[in-house]
Order: sequence, then C-alpha cells, then structure tokens
Amino acid sequence: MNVARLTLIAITMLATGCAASKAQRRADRAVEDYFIGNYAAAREQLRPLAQKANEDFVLNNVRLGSAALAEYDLDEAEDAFLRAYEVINSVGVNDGGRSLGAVLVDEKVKIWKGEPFERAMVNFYLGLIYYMREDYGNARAAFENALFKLRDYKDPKSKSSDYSEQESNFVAALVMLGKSWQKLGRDDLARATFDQIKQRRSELGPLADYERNATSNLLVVIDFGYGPHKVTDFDGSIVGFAPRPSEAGTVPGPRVTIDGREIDTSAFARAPFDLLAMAQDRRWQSIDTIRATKSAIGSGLLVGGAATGLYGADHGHDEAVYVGLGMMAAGLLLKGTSQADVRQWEMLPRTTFILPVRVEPGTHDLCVDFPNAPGLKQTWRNIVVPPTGEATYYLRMQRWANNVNEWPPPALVDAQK
Amino acid sequence: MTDDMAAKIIADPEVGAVLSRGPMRVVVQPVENRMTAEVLPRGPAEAFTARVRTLLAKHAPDRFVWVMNRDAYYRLRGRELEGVELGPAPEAVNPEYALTATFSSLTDEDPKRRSAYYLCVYELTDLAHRNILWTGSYEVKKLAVKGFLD
Repeated sequence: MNVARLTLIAITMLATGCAASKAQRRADRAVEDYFIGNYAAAREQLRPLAQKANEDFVLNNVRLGSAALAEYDLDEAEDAFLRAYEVINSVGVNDGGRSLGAVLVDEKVKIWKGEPFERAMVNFYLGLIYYMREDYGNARAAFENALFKLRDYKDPKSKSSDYSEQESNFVAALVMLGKSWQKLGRDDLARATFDQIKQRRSELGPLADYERNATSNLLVVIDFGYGPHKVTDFDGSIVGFAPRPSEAGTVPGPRVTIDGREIDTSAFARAPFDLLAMAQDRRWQSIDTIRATKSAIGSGLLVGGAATGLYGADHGHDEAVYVGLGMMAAGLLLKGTSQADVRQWEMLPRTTFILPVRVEPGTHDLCVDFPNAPGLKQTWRNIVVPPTGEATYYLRMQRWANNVNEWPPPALVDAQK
Repeated sequence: MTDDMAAKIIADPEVGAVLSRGPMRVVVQPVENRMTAEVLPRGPAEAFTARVRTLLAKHAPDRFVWVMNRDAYYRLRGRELEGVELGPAPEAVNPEYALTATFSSLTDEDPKRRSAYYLCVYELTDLAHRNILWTGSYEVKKLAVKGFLD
C-alpha cells in the first residue's frame, strides 16, 4: 500500500514537474512583491495557491496571511491563518505514502507545517488579529496555542528521543496573553502571566508591567527585519539556518513619534524575541526528523549489508554477498540522496516589538522609525486613539514599501461597508 | 447537539410557564470561547447559536421573538447564511431573556497523543432578574494519535 502510494507520488512529481514549478514561480513572485511592499500584487498571486490542497497549502496560506495583515485586510488574514492553523493542529496529515516519500524520495513531498518557530508565529498573528478586533477570548486561545511545549534535549548532541518537554519561552505571545487576560477581566491570570515574563526575562519587565498595560490606550505592534532561512550544503542537505544573530547584528530599538513629538519608548527598546536566535536553538527546530530517520535507516542498511556480505563470503554463498552489497549500496544511496526541504515562510520578521502606550485620546499622526537603521520609517496619518479600551496598530517595516499611509486603510473601509 | 438543545428548551417546565404568558423575547449572544489554546472562529460560533434559534422558531413558531446580538446580526446579514433566519433587527425589539453558550476544554498532550475533553454549556437567562431559566450542557471527548511527521 505504502510502496504503491510512494510510487504514485514519485510518478506524479515527475509528471507534474512543470505545474509545480509554475506554482513555485508564482509563489516566488508573490514573495518578491511582498518584499517591495506591493502587498496587493502578492495577495493576488497567492489567493489561488492558498486554495489548492497540496503540500504547500499551509505555506501559501501563511504567506497570504502576512500580505493581507500588512494591508489590514483582517478578514482575509484571519481566513488564511485559520486554514493554516487547522492543518498545523491536525495530526496524521503526513501519514502513509507522504511520510515514506518524504524520507526516501524528496522531503518536499510532505505537507509543510513549518518549524516550531514558524508555527508559533502563525498562532501569534492569529491572536494579534483577534486582539485587534477586540475578540479577546479567541486572542487568548491563539496566544496560548503559540506557547506549545518544546522538546528540550538533555544531551545537546543527541538527536534521539532523550528529551523532556518544557513550556516555550516565546515572550511576545506571553505578553499578548497577559494583555488578553486583562481584557477578559482575569486579573489573577494576567498578573501570573506578566510575572512569568519578569522571571524569565527580567530586562523585559516594563513590557510586562501590569499597570502600564492596563492603562494603555494605544498598542503599536511593529514587525522588524527578516527571519531566518534554511541553508544547504553541496549535496542539497540542510545544514541549518542563516544568518546567525551575530552575523545580522543587534536589533535596533524603534523610535515612535505622535504628531511629530517623540514619546518615550526606551523601556520597550529591547526586542522581545529574535527569530534568528530561536532558529539556532534546537528546541525550536524539527528539521532533523527526516535527516535522522534517513540516517538511521541508511546506517542500518550499511551495517546489515556488511554483515550479510561477510556471512556470505565466509560461507561461500555468492547470493548473500550480492544481497549484502545491494543493501550497502541502498544504505549509501539513502544517506546521500533525497533533496532537503528548504521551504520556509519568507515574510517572517526578525522580531516583533510590542509597545503599549498611553496618549491623549483623539486623532493623531503616528510615525515609527529606527535611528540605527536609516531609511526604515513608516507613517500612519489620522490614527484613532480611544479614551477607554485600546486601539492596536500593526506596522510591517519595509524599506521599499509605501511608508506614508492614511488611516483607515482601504481594506478596513471596505470591510466596514 | 443543537436539535437536542432546541427540544429540551421547549420541553422545560419553567420555560413553558413563561411561554404561557406570551412569546419570549430572547437575545442570542455569540458563543464565549473558554477553550484552552483553541480558537473558535466568529463565523461558526455565530452560526451555531443562529441554528438553535432557527430550530426553535421551527418547532415553536410564534412562541419566541429572537433578537440577535447587534454585531452578529449585521455580520450574518452581510454573509446571508443559508438556512439561518435572522429575525428582527436588534433595534426593533427590547429583549427580556438571553441565550448564551460557553465552550470550555481540558486538553492533555504528549509527544504521542492529544486528548481533549470539551464541555459546552448553554444558559437561558432572565435579564431583569438574572435568573437562569434553563441550562443544558454537552460533553465531547476527542483523542488524536500523532503520526511520524506530526
């Protein structure tokens, strides 16, 4: 059954090579459009891809979600992230021929569900969308889901099942979870969540300040920089993620001005997380699953083949010698072949700043820039800050995007009609 | 679940006593999500209570006046959901009762399996006196075994 399905998948892959590359080119164009800030074009390219139930379904939906969120089309962003969320949280989507095909033929056969840090970001953005809509029950649920358990390996060199599980240290989700509990009137849980942040990351104390969050009427959420990408070696197998934080430099702090006047955000200048660093942390990786499996099967075939061959040689059984040699060849082939899966969510930021501030209620011009990253500046004119409650604004910092915007954005106006 | 719930509300003696005095004016609230780490999207949550209201309207016509939560009413009207009667606009009727639903869950997860126990509690509340006129609950358990690449 599995062999038949594997064969079918392999034949299908060969037969549909052109179609797949066309879809891939379309996705690549969408990613390029996103990077130059042409979110409308990116969404146009991604919409049909995000409907196709194939191995890139989750990936294309999270890409679409990123582009839609940057344009404040919260309905489309929610739908896209929800589709991804459903598959990510499902079990058994890679059962049967897909698992075998991923190990033996090409890792891209498996349905992409992302690395743990990518999955956490799907939940984070979903939570952010609900938070922006003041749907705090669902925001709370999504942020909780971003804090799933991670495998903490006791032996850093071990890739075996010698690990324990621990709660993730994804502080951005913890901050937003604490804020959601506040909005839901669960002060006890809000305080407990903020205390957890202070214990784990004392330098982020101001961000986890209960009173500051309770009185904030303007929440500015800023995506800065770009996340890690997978790198391969000469034979196409993945060797890890790049760049390392030290190669990319330190994350600069944002400067926020309201109506031309700078507001003090020095307390929030530290990045709550760094995806470049998280990607280097084995707890946030799952890329070695298939590599380890392939390596184990390959090693087994090599050892088994050698033993069979030696037995055949000792006892004068030519057939056993040939079988042993065949097994060893298969083992070497398995260890050395099959293409690594380098698919990734390219739109991810390096970090997300969360700035809860209190400003005079009314209409304002909001401007965010990074003094240590020249040319990176975004302005939103006529944002609305309420006297009670909290208005949330999401900014994706990109150098080549249209960085002077009028509030409300067209997508939000259309949604309110 | 919704069919069972609609039948039980109509059969409840306390609800019957109120209905004997005339139609009940009930506002339908969106489902409240208290599930652990599980999102309950707005559309399904609203459609779920809307279906209960539609079933009751079918089983007991003229005995309930349903008033939908204002936001939900206009969103559902925008979506024009099939098979869901929206009833009067929220501005037109002053409700006396509220139908609320709360979904909770207990989840246990380890590297091999995930089990979730869901509890759905419904309440029909007298808004003037804050009395719970009727309450019903439903339980569902789900078990999922993880595969190789999960």
